Amino acid sequence: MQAEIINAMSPDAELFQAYSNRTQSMENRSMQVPRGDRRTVGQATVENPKVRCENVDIFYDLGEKKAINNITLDIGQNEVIAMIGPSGCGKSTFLRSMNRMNDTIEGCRMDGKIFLEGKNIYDKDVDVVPLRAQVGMVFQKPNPFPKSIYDNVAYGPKIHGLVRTKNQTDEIVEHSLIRAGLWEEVKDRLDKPGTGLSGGQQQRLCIARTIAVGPEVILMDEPCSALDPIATAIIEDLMDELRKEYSIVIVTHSMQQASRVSQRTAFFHLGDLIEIGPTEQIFLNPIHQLTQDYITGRFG
Amino acid sequence: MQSHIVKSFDSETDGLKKKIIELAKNCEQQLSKAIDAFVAMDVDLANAVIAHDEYINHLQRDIEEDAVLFLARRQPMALDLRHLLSVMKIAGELERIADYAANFSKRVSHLKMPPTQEPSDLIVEMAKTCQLMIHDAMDAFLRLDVKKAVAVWHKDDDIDTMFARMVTLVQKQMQENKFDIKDGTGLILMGRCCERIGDHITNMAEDIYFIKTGKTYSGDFEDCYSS
Repeated sequence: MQAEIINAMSPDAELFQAYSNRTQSMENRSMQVPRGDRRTVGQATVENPKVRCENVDIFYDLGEKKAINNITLDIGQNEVIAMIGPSGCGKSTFLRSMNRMNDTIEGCRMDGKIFLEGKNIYDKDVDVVPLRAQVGMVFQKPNPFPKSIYDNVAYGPKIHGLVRTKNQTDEIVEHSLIRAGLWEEVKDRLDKPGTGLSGGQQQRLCIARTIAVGPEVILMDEPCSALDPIATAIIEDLMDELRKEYSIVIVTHSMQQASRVSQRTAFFHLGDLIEIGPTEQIFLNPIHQLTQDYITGRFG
Repeated sequence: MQSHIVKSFDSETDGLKKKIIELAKNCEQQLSKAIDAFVAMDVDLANAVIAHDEYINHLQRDIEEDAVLFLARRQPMALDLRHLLSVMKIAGELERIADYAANFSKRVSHLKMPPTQEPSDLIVEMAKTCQLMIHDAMDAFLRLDVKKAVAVWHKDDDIDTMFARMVTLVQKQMQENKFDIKDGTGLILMGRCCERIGDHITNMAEDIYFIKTGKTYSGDFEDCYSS
């Protein structure tokens, strides 16, 4: 009855759908899950995911230490998914498993499967070099190469064989810098060193570098923690723009940032995925008591 | 609830809680004095109630300022966010309730003659029920007791029933010339004040329900047992 009234009142069908989805998710929710329950609550899978992680376990120190405990989680198309949790909860480890960056850590072992558009990235025939182009990464501290701004962006496409001529390279450099929102600020000094830019600009240069090799997923590990509020706002605005083309996974310690930029939020604790759900639900009315304790600052 | 890592977070929350209790206590007293003024036809007491309304407005503004500062400074999430938003709304409801108590008192000084027994009893009963409801709603707020909040919400039906009975009665007595039109209208407006107070208390009950469950109360009594 209520739905009919709203439908009749609202000319915007999309708005109505959003409202009714939200109401439904609120109505279907169960009671608060107690602290001790380690099972994941919320919808971990989505339809037609970009990345599907299935029963992922990750160990350090040759299996001595278990960092990730049987996590199943989908990354949707064109979504920003935020991963939150206290230090040492495994969120960065899990993030790195999505482009096999953990391979470089000695004694690190991974069980389970991670599919990128249906293909298990841990299959023996997968080459990690093109994989890391497909699943790009932006780190906490901006890390431009000690080269010119132009070369920073052009390097990836060149080594991946994406460009053959100078014109093609120019085009891809300009396009990537435009997409990263940096073009206007650097177009007259492309030959200057990338390390001479401000922190926020350097981080956008790293994003441009990631975009240049045509990724499908961008992993961001606390991309704004070394930036001032203005540079942070610019990156957040950029993420909103980028998600039209890519899926973005962001690890962040800022609850406010997670709530601003993401559509889904995953809360990790001691290697377990405790809760995953629509961001608005996680921050307004989480189901798990641990999630509530963490986001309200009552972790003890 | 478990304490916050930042101690001043808890002390600021407690400070807000104390202020809202102070506001609620004042509202209850205003209503109680308004009833006394009506029963005794005491114009001085009625005027005191009217004068005290300014203090209540001040209390509400104070709570709102604290809440805005808290929001900006602490950026609360989840239960804390729901709690803070509801505190702001409840402060607004209480301020309106106090306005109605003052309006009620204004009518006392305009009455030409003491009202007849029956409608007068009904008005007093309505006002006393409201007073009790404020008390119970605040108790539910402090304990986050959803069952109690829901019970308060449904108590408003009694007020509506009493108001309807009172209006019929006064209309009948006006027709019988038991009191003049001005006094009769005044009595109906006083009843109306109580009826509106009841509505504001149901809003408070809904806010308490929202704090605890994150949901909007649908009016279904069973809902409080599933949350």
